[in-house]
Amino acid sequence: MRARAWLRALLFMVLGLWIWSWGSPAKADTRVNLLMNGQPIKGDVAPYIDGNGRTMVPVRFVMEQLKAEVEWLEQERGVVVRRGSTVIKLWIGSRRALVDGKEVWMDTVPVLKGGRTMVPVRFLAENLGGVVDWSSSTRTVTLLLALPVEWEQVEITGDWVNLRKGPGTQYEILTTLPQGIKLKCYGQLYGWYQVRYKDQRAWISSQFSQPLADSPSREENSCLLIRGVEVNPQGEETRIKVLANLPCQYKVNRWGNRLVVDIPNSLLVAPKESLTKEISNYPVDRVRLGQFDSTTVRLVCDLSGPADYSIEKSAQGLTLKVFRPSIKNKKIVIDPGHGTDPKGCDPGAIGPTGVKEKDVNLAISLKLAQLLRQAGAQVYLTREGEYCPYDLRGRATYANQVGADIFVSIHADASPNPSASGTTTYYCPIRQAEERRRLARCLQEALVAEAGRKDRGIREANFVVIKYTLMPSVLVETAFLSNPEEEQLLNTPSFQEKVARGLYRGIVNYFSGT
Amino acid sequence: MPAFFRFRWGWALMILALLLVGGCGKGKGSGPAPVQLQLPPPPEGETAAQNKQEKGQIQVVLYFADPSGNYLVPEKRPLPKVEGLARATVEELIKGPAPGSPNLPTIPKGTVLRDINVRPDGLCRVDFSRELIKNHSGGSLGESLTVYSIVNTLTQFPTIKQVQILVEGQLVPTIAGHVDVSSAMTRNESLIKP
Repeated sequence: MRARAWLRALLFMVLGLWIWSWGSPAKADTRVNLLMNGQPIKGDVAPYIDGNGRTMVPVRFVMEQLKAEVEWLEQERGVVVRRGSTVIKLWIGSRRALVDGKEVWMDTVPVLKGGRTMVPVRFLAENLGGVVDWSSSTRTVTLLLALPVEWEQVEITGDWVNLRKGPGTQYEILTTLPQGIKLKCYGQLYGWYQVRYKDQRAWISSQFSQPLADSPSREENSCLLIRGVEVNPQGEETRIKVLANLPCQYKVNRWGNRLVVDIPNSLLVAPKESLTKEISNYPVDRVRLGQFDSTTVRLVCDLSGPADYSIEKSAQGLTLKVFRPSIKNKKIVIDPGHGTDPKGCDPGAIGPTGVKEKDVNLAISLKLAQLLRQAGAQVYLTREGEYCPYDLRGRATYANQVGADIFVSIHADASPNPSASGTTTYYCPIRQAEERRRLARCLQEALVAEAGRKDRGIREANFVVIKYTLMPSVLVETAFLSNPEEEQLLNTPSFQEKVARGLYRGIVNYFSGT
Repeated sequence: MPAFFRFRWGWALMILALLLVGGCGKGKGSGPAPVQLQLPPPPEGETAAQNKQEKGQIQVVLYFADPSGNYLVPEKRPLPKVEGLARATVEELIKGPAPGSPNLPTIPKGTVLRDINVRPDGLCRVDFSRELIKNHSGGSLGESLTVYSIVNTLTQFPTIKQVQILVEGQLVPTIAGHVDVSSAMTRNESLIKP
């Protein structure tokens, strides 16, 4: 009987909820409340739910409440959010985002609304290490983000203590750990510490854990002092010395026309007036040094054009050289497609009159290698004649071992219809998607301009040699060997020369950043 | 007696729960997954293999190269409803476009289907004879048309999520020196004519 009463009650609840849910969606209510660490957030543009079911918030307003830095990039219509050591980059209308330089895809896109950049709050918060909850009954998004702490580690003091997904006992338990375990600590909130557990973030109650005042990781680095910066322009090279008492760890980033060097676990002790230096020596406009956050010193070079750099640790700091990019000393691997390898003979495509792809690929590659070498590049070929000592995947491995800056595989295409024609450049967006796309675009544009064949565009593909290379890489299909006209062209030294020159131009353009 | 009631109430609840899911579906976009109940999604309505015809026939889609040789295009073909539908479909793909069709074949001449099986997890292993490699006329485009005509034709079936191509029973790195076929592939519609 009791079971029956229970079920009856449950039925009414379900029924009630059902009726309610019929009524409300018709209004398509997209308003939503936002609570951040317990505080209601009300910007001048209200949060709302977009067509993809994601809660959108005004990024600058929300992030500034969280002491995060927000920067609008007018040129690329993007926004950069920095909090602690995390950097997130988003673009208006793009599902693509960069989190600490890594490409991530969102399930919705940032938009401009009322002059504010609206971004999906869950994506942002979770990538900043926060906890996001949604209550459908009150239409409230609850956002919890740990506040910074002085210490780097906590030690478990309780007997067996739960690590949870959020700061409270209502959150799911991730694991239970014994006394004495030390965990890296990211911050605290509501009497809970946010800690690292197996590369994810978890929360532990401060009742059962305590901060370690002398966490070793902090102590051993705490004496790195940055004393200033010395700048020495020489022709088109600018030498920038960061003066410190010890060798520095560093991380280099590029944001638009800025080159940024972060030095972790360091303290700036230079006089304020020495922190900004106007250089105006191409490509460096200005050099700035600053304490970015409590543990990071940041060096910023404002650039006036495409720039390349090298960086070196010294006993007392770092030396950064910034210069106009060129292909001089660049390591370039050229891969003439097909040929004979340890697994056998592969002629590639064969034209209507019998011209073999492997031969035209090689002829073009050798001409290209010569042009690049004349310009000072270090060129490596996967084969210099018929025989290639590497199998297909081995060609990529070879480029990886050489430590190439770029990899260019040269091919000729074929189609079931002999009238198909033109030039295609393929890249594999599995890594460095942006750079690879840029390399493909540079080569395709210059090659079409020089050789004058139909522009079939750049395309994504999972071809072996461009998939397993670790550096930016492309596979160029110069023209169609299955097309009688293009077969004859590909077999003509003057056309091969044109193709080589086009590819050379493209490579030069790629390295000069245009 | 109580068992009987529980049973009946259980059904009533389930039906209501189903209705509830339906109701909430309308309010899609009302926040991150407020509803816990989940049902398997209904099968895609467009699946050709389920587009049943009269007298025990079934329509399948075969992908061939379009007349320009630049894209893949779908070609519908009725097949008798047989046990191994995937096998029959690949056999038709090998036969090539219908007589009189301007489309072009994607599978090299002489290629034979050696074996095909579909695992419960949705992986289809399809094994061709060596002619798939030996008689292939090459080119990145030509190879892509071949590979994705096979993969896209097979993934029309809801039971096939991934396709692993084998040649003479062995894993091979590529068919013609470009596309990585060493691991299973998912559907890729980028070559299908827009």
